Amino acid sequence: MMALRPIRFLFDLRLNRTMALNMVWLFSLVLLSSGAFAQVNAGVDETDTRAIMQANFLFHFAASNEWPEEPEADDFHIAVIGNFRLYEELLDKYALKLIGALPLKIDFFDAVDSFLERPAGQVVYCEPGGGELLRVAQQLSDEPVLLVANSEAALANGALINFVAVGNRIRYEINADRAREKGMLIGNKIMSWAVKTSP
Amino acid sequence: MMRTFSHLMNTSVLAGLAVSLSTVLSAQTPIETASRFAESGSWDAAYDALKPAMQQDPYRSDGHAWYVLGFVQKELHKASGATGEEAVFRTEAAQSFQRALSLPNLPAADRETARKALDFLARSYFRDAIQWVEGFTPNAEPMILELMGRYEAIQTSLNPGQDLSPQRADLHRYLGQAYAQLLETERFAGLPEEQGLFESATSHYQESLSHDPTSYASQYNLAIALYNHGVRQLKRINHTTSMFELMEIQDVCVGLFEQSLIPMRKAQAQRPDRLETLKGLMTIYYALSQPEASEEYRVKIEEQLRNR
Repeated sequence: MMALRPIRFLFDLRLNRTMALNMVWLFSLVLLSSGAFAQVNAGVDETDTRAIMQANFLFHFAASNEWPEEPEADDFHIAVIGNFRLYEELLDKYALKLIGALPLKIDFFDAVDSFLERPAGQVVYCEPGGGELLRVAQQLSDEPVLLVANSEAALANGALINFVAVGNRIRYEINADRAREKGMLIGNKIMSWAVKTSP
Repeated sequence: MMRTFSHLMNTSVLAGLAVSLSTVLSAQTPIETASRFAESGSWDAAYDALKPAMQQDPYRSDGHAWYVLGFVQKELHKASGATGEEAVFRTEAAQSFQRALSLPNLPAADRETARKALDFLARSYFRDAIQWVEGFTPNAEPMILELMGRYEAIQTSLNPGQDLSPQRADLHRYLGQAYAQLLETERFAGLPEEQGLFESATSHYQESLSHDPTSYASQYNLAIALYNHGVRQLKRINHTTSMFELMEIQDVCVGLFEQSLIPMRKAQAQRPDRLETLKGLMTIYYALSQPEASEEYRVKIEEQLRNR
């Protein structure tokens, strides 16, 4: 009968070598299990989610209203005051889309003062609230312009539409009476999704 | 003429050696023959010598014979470099070692070595599973889980009381990340598979948390997967989106953002000073139209950065 000790010795040697080689693996395993090796995902998507929603709402406000005839107009303007990311979103997805027969142009103003120097737009979005919004509203009081805001008591400060948060969602309220006074016909679709239709 | 003679001599010597060796080998038991081949590293020959005998008495109840066969199979597995389902010798080796350990006549020294060898094989299953996750395709998931199952089965047989939850939690977290990374590539954007990938990612993170509820990485990753999936839906809004669709998309997204808030808060509670969770909470609250809460976390981020 052949002695089996050599093969056992050989096995032990091989196993020891294998185990030594696997110390690196074992170390990795410990790190993995301890969480020190833990990797997290790339991170939160920094896209401005509110800007995406608001931009689409503004597009619908523009597209669903009946606007007074302006035979000389070559294009339709949405002006954005004080919200560059909203401007970028509008520019990216909606610029040159047709509002009626007119291509949509997007204008940006970093502050109310710069807007008041050269007012423009059939739809004007004003990010600043309070007195700043009031200044814009006063400037546009006799114009058939849809002033949209995103601030406290914005309808009282002259906005015709104001974005509001309802149940973690972006909705909007409309000052329907004031819109009528200005001779603006806000579309039924826009009216039907509003949370409130008077100040 | 001389060359022909020399050639004939060599041939006859070799033939004689072959006959002698054959005589010697035929006088040995299969286990002795296999051991001799094994010593010289001829693992295929060792396997061929021993394997057919293992279904016959006395070898089928010989612990040492199963131990030797297991070792030969283990070496064949290593030499093959096979992974996953193709690693047939690994499966056979594990079975042989387990068979050896189940037999009372296995010598104590062999027993200890067999346990170590089995432990090595078990860890190779786990390592294999992780490697398949690194080069992940969804089709590989059943095999990855099968490999993990084998790792756990062997480890449990070696150490019945061992807690393998940390490894199981890690594997599911890795799978969650693999699915999430597929989603981030946008290869499946708007396709029917996208929702399935998202559900797989989140269910693996949740499974990971069921094994290790304290895993910061799983909480954070789950929150990110939920939030980013909501953002992906929002990004598809464009001039063709109707008001009705817009409201529907918003409902879906807000639902995902609200869900993401729960694990992100838990992650933040575990590591209050991590910028990534503060940033996550700032962003989620902003998306949920809660500017005051968002601002609160923005201020905390600024404090953190100032204190660095």
